[in-house]
Parts: sequence; C-alpha cells; structure tokens
Amino acid sequence: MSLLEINDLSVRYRIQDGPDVRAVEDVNFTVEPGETFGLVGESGCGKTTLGKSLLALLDDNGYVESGEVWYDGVLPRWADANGEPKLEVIESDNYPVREDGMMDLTELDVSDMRQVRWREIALIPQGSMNALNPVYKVGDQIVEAIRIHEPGTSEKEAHNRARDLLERVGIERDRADDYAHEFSGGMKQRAVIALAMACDPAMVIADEPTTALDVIIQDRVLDAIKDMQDEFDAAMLIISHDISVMSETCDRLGVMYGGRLMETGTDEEIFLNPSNPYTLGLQNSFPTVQEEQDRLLSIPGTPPDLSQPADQCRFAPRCPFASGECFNDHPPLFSVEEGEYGRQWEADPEESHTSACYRVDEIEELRNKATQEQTWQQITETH
Amino acid sequence: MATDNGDPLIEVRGVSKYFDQTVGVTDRILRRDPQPVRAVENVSLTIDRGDIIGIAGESGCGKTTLGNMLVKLYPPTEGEIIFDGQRLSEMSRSDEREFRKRVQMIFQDPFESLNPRMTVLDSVAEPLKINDMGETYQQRRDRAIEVLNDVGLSPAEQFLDQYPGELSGGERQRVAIARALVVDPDFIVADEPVSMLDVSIRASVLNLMRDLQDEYDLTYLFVSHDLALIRYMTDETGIMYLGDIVEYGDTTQIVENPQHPYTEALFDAVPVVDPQHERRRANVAGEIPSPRNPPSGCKFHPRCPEVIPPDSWTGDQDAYRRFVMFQSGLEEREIGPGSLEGLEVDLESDEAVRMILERELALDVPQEHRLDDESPEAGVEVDRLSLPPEATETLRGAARDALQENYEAALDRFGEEYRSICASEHPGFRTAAGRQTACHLYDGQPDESLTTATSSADD
Repeated sequence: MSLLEINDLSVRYRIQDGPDVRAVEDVNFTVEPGETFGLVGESGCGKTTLGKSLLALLDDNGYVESGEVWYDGVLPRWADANGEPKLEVIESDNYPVREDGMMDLTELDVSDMRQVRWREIALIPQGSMNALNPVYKVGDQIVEAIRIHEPGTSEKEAHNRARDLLERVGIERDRADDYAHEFSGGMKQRAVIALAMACDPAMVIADEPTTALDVIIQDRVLDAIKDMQDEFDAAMLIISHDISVMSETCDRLGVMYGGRLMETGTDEEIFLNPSNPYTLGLQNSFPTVQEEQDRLLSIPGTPPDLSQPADQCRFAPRCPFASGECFNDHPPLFSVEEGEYGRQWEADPEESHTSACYRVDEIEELRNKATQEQTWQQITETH
Repeated sequence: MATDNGDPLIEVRGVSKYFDQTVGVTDRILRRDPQPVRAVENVSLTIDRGDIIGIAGESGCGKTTLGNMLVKLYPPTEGEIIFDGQRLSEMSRSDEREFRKRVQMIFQDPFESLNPRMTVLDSVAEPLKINDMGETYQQRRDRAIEVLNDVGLSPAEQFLDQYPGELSGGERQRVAIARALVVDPDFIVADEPVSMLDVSIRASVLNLMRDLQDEYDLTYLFVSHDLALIRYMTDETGIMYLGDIVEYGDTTQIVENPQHPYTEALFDAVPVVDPQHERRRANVAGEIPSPRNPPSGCKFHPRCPEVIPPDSWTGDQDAYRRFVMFQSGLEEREIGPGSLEGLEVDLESDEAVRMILERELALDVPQEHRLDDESPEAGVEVDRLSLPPEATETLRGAARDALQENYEAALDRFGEEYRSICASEHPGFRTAAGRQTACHLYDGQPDESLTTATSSADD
C-alpha cells in the first residue's frame, strides 16, 4: 500500500482583483514507502505549492480547493521502535478514514497537523541545506526539534538521540557540541538531514535542496541525500527544477507544467523514454556538460496565466503537436505502455508510466519530430 | 596555441583587484595592517576579435570582478587592460565616450537591470541619446525597432510602449540585450545572462546571443558558474579559483580532459542526466579559504588531491595530502582543544594526541576517495597511513602544541623539509595537453609572456 496518495488535488491562491490562481489542479500521484519521488518543473508550475499544501503550510491566501491527500500513518498503529504509538491518538472519528486505514491530511485541524509535521512528514525548506542556526549548538537544534514534537522525551534521551542521528549521517557524536561554523560544508548538510530525521519521520519533503549552491557543495549534498536514502527507510519527495539533480536522486518522477502533472514514471522511463511533448521540450532545452550540443531547442512562448486558464491542454499553446481535442480539454493521464489502446482508459494509480497527452499513442513519432528545430519553430509561426 | 595568430581586441596584463584596502577602526586599534580581499590576482589573458570566451568558477572566485573591470566599472588595483590598442587607464574623456559605446554589458537579473518606469522604447533608445547617436527622435525610434526585431521581439511595434512589468523574464532579457546592442558595440560582457530564466526559455536567449554574434560581429566574455552553459556557448574558457585563472584553453578540451586538479573536481561535481550512469564524485576536501588570506603558492594546494610531495618524503602521496591538510588546518586554527570538546580526555595525554590525529588526518571527501576502513565518524587509523616516521613525529608534536593552543610552535615544527613546491611557489602558466595550466604537476617553465592563449575558433 502507498504511503501517500494524492487524489485530484487542487490548490488555489486568492488574489486581490480577479479570479483565484489555480496553482495546482487535479494532481494525482502516489509515493510508496521508502521510495524517492521527484516533482520537476519550471518556476510557477505549482511544485512548491503542492509540497507546502501537504503539510498545510500554504501562505494565508492559499487553500486546498478540492481533492484529498491520503496518508498511511496518522493512526495509532504507526508505532515507534519500542512499539509505542508515535502520536497521541488523533480522534480519527472526526476525520475521514478510508477502509484501508488511510487518512486525509487536508482535513486535519491545526493541532493535529502539528503532530504530523516532523514526526510523520519532515520538511527541508528551500535554502536550508546551508542554513543551520549559527547561535545554537548543532546538537541542541536537534534536541529542540525532538522535544517540541515529542514533549514526553527527557532532555537526556533527546541528547542521546541527537548524537545517534549525527552518527548515522556520518558525523562524530561529540560534534553535537559544536556550532555550525565549526562544521565543514559537507557536514552542515548532513546535520540538516539529521535535523529532518530527528523524529524518525516516514517521509521527508526536500524543496530545491541544491538550488543556489556551488557545484562542489551541490555534489556533497547529492552524496548526503544518497547516504540518507541508504541509511534511513523514510520516503522522500524532492522538488526541483533541475532535471540532472532529479535524475541522480529519484526513483520515480512527476513532471509538472502549469499546475498540472504532465507525465509520471520511473527515472528511466522519464529520461530514456520521455512521453509527453512538454518533457521532450524540457530535455531539448537542457544543456549538458557531457556532450557537445549543436543547438539547444527552446520551447517558444511562455507558461499559461493560471488565473484564467483556457479550457485546453495547459501546454497546447506551446506544443508543436497540439491538434483538435487538445484545444477542448486538458487531457487526463494515459498509460504509455498500453500504446494506442492506452487512451481508452485513464491510467490506474498502479500504472507506472503515464502521460497527459491525447497523442500518447503516437509518441514514437512525436519523439523523433521533437528533435528537429523546425518542429518547434512552426509554433511561433502558427500561434 | 602559444603562437599569436589572432587579432587581439582585449589584452589583460597582470591584472589584480583588491577590495577593502582602507584601515578600519578595528585594524587601527589592533595596529593591524589592512587585509584586503584579493578578488582577482595577477590575471592575464587575450581575447581575440570574434571570440566567445568563458570565465567559470564558484562564487567568490573573482569571475564577476574580472568582467566588471573589462567594462571599466572600476579600475584594476594593479596591471593594465588594453582595449583595441588603448590602455584603459590612459583614456581621455573622448576616448572613454567612444569606449562606452564599443563595450557593453548584459547583467544577470533582467528584473532589476531595467528601469520599471521606462517603456521598452525608452530603455532601448536611451543609450543612443546618451551617446549622441541618431539625430532625431524618429531616427532613434527606427534604430530601436530594428534592434528589437533582431533580438526576436517582433513585431517590435507591439513592445515599444510596454513596461518591463508587463514582460516575461525571457522578454525582459531580450530588451536588456537590445539595449546593449543598440549602439553597435564590439565587445559584450555577459555576466550570468540566463541564470534567472527558466530552462525552456534559456535556450532561446543563448541561441539569440550566438546568432547575434555573426550579425553584429561581436566578441563576448561569458561569465557563468554553470559549466554546461559554458560548454554550449564558448570557444575558450578560463577556470578561476580564488582570484587566479588556473586553467585556460579550448573549451571542449578542458571539459573532456581537464588538466588542473581543481578543474577536474569542478567537472566531476556536475550531475548528469542519465539514470544509468554512475558518476565519479569530486575529490576535494574542505572549503574555499578566505580571499583575504589565501594559501601560499598554488592557492588550491591545501584542498588538492594531487598535492606534490617533496623528494624527501618517503611515504605515499595520499599520506602527504593528509599531512598538508593537517598543516593548513593548524594555519587556519581549526585544529585544537575544540576538536576534542565533549570528550572526557586529558588534553595533555598521548590519548588526546592520538585522537586528534585520527580525526584530523581523515579526509572529508566522498566515500569512493577514502580508504577502505576510513570514515569521517571513526577517523582514520594513523598506523595505516604511509607516513615517514619523522613526519609522524612532527604531527604528534604539532598536535600536542595545538592542544595547548600554541600554534606558532606547532607550525614551526613543520620546517622546510616537507614543504611542497605547491605551497612554496605559485605555479605560473605552463602548457599541458595543448593549453595553459597553472599547476606544478606539469613540466616546463612557467610561461612568463603575458599572452596566455589565442583563438582557435577560426583556425
């Protein structure tokens, strides 16, 4: 059973004048226990909003418009290492719980959500990979997180756990008494990971973990994330615009555009077998250091205005392959493997490789055409 | 490449830039000499007409400072920059007016580099007015329209009356490019021109810059931290570290076969978009030291995986690397009683010395570059390292001194015997694999001539 099941989730922002901005719309995906799922897309695609909405951390004008975030864990049976329940019992009668025990996080009130944060789902916010508090000892910062989120823990026990955690991420136990400036670059990021793992969460959300870092420090962060995946059995949700970072860290990915999920699949499916015109365009425009590239192809046009999106595929105005029905309605996710029959059914949640494109049955052909410059140029001419 | 077959447009000769040279209050009280930030130190390079030269490196390496000096935003502290045969420092007022026309800059952030209260037309026509180009408003307007069409904002008439706030990031950067091009310059410095733009938009701005190069007969200096962009855009590249250019030459060659250990680490660190590929990680320990007090000799030597042992060293190179790292840790005052804080151990005991060596001789690098049984948490067994007995004694003594915070005594123990050439002499440029590398690993006399490289693009 999945750890997290996001079902038709829509998130909007109220703005002063004009209709609400549809930052995330009808998004579906699952995160399995222990796996790393990546949400990739450009600025404004809704990836960060989606991450924040899972923990009810949206800005004041943001709200979940519809959909559910089913989570397996906000229940007493989710026990810690000693068999004790990790949470004070959330009054599950008040909340919609499915027959399989999954609970909808969007329905939790403030105090119950506080129990979920850090204990169940920890967040590593954007920019924090290099930002420990300079005036507290590193160990004390971990102790604080433990004692706030697990009030019953004694100071001594919390200190012991902090040292255990540092050891697990590869930092000597006694470095807990150091301040952040006494840590090397690589150790700081490992300490941030230890901080996120303070309450042994089942899942960690990392928002742009490497953005704005220099390349050698980024390399250390990627190394630390890899070690974390090996050492802890928590699932991860990584949010980033950088497809190379995603390719190195994720088991499965979702590609977002204009608030919608355009394609989902394993990293190999997405990178070796991209099956959505937006993914194809994104890969064309991404420079790599490994090989000589004759000419990068950009995607003409600009992302859609999400306050008044037209009734059409979000990508249609920039898509060289858009035709007929693409301009009537945004497509659901279709199974890629099913080939031409795929479009008869909407993909079921178990299906790994899916693409929101009405022409997914012709994808081989589109993939070839997408490598040619004139394919993309014609959009500028026709629209 | 040593032969000068190009047509130099810009020559940079031994240029340094120090910031913060004045004596502050604290310095005066403590009777200290000011320690300036050495942003750029003794850099020389030649840029030929029609070249696209890249400058790459991590933040703080001096790449932006170098670019800013080339457009005369501020003068170098030392050295000379020569533009088309003329020294920047000796320009008359009218020479400078001419220079400001011929040299332009494209800034990083199109959200900040355009005046939000000026329309596109005003922004693009302003440089013409300032430079007394175009007699009438109509002439300036026509020129602005021509350039806007060239940068892909067509039909330009649609954009003329718009304000930057109404444009997307990609469109704004095109306006900024148009503003640079409108005076028909010869040389453009582009400092991270696409780093604020989304990936799908980036490519079009990069392609535009390449296409305009032919059309306007431009020479570019392209400054970026993004090595993939450097590879895509430039003919030749200089890699900078702490104010020095450490390697300079043909971009493709540098990417595919880096010579300087820092360049190699930099490219190793770039993630790859290939789920089936296992990448080698960067083998660099520690962090970039302060540019106020950079290491002696080769500035990279305390972090360098290939630091060269002197002839008197009878151990192996791996042990020597750790030995050098320990020494620079003492210089930075990073090793001392603080390293053992929280441990119940007598600071004067042999146990404390053993622990500090185990800990501080361990490499903080990705696992593939460590010894089998070594880890940052457990440290490294000193006996397993191939250290000469005298070196071990030096380390023990220095560790004992450091535990008493007696750093001068600790450093005195190191003497000259085990001093690496990397620490004692700054490596000048020398030719390795057909390009210029500032590294003692390569034979040959440092190249004293100030010309470092010339174009190979149109050979």
